[in-house]
Amino acid sequence: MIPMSHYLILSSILFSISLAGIFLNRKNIIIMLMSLELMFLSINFNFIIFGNYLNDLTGQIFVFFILTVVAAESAIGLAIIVVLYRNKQGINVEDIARLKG
Amino acid sequence: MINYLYIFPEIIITSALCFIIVLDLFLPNKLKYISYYLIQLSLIFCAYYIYSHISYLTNNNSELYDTSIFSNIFKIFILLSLAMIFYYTSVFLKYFNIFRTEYFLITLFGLLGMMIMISSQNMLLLYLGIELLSLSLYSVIAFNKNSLFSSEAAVKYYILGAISSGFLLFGISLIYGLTGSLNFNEIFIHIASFNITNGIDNVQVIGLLFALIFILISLSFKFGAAPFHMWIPDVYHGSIITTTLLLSTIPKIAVFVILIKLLTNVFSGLFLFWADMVIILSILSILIGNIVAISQTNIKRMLAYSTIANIGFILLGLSVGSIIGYKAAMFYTLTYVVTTIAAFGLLSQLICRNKPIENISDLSGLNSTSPFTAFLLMFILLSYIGIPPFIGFHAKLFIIQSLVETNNIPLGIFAVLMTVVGSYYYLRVIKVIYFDEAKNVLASTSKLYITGIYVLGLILLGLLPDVLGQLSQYSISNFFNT
Repeated sequence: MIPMSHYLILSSILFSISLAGIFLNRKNIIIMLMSLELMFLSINFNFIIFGNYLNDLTGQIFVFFILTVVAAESAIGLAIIVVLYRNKQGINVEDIARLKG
Repeated sequence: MINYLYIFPEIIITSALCFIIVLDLFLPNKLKYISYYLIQLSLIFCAYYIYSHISYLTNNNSELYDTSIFSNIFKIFILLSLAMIFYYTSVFLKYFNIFRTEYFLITLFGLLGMMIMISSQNMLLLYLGIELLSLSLYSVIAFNKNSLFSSEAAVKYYILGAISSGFLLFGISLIYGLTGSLNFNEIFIHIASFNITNGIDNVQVIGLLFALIFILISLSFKFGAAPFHMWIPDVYHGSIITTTLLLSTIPKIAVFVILIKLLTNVFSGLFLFWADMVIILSILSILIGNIVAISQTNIKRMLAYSTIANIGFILLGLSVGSIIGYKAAMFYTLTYVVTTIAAFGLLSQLICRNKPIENISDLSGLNSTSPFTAFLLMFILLSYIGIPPFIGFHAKLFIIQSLVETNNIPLGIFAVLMTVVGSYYYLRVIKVIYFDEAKNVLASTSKLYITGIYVLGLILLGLLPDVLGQLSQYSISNFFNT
């Protein structure tokens, strides 16, 4: 049987990859959204593992809540990006730097 | 059996929301103000309901949803502040012809999220409340959809807000794995059972520390404390001024309640660790807030940095780790919110060349065009600085007093010194108002009666600091007895 630490290391690596994806990405906001999605999936992984390990349903129920909330969140995110695209004719990360001071 | 009467305040808000959304569809544009008044009515009624049923609500001993006096006082405060904010918002939106009822309705969803946050006794509920709040804030910031600044601010807030919820969830998942529970009380009991005095050689304690750090980072994002403050100036600058007013006031109260609940209750066993983190956060916030604000020319950015500095003071009160400190922090939070509503509310009513106020120089010579407005603005700024007869003085005094009483004298001296630095940029605005030549004709979008009465109330609060003092004393001591 695979020990639990392996699962936790996997989810932590996924979490770090998604964080790096958000901060290193200099091109497209859509890629940021994908990284965010990956972040929440790695957290879901964590909850499932802990729930399984503790023989407790709460963790698995929490995952469903996260999935729905994140779906709503990315819907709003995409809507905001559409608004940005209309105003700017582009969604490059480097271009959204009008607000400075 | 679940008794739904305990969540009746939330039910009032939800049903008002559903009713007004449908009603608004059938109202012609001329009659949209009806739904605005209905929203105001539901806010006031909800606050009155909580006030009149407070003894009934406090009987609730649910493990999931806490309706103690502590959270009810904050709920009433949030409801009344939101009513005030909605007044300013409606005046502003009507003047610029962008009045949409959806703005208020989406904000009501945020209000619901804040009420759930304040009452949550469970990590799942806390997460859902925070998400409901942030989702509605994302859309409220992007409300002015023809403005590039507005949509840019919304994108920035969206990305950073989503990262911070990710951090919160990661922390919660670690806590769930280590304690096997999501309930605040059970987590508290688990943490107390770990032997932390032996140092951090225990794997479980290291895991808990990780969880604590993740959750603290996420909450400082929402609160706007210093290393995680990057979004505050941009978002405040980009969104319309009444959205800035909304963002800078009531979400801070809700996050403050969560911080008090988590740090002093759930994580009280880890006080040795979180006290240092909170001190670092507060020192950085006060430094960055006060020093960067000096170089700002945009008034919204300046007030954004002043928000960061004020958050630092609140965290300073939390880091003391005794009831006197929490009381001072609560007093400071309430004072900050009351003053900020007055400041942004007044600024939102001023227009310069038919546009909202943007730069500090727009205000030049305000005294010669409308002395009354200049007078009100001066009072508010003096209260921010902490000049004695005003309420801000007592807030700062209580924080510094709590620091001195717990032998944190260097931190107290630091706070006093940074207050002096901070007074520079507020006084500069007063100088611009009173001594600079008038370059622009300033006008106000409406009569300033309500603002005048509000500022008068502020002065009275400053003369009678016991009102807010007793309130925070009462609610904090109630929180720690239960």
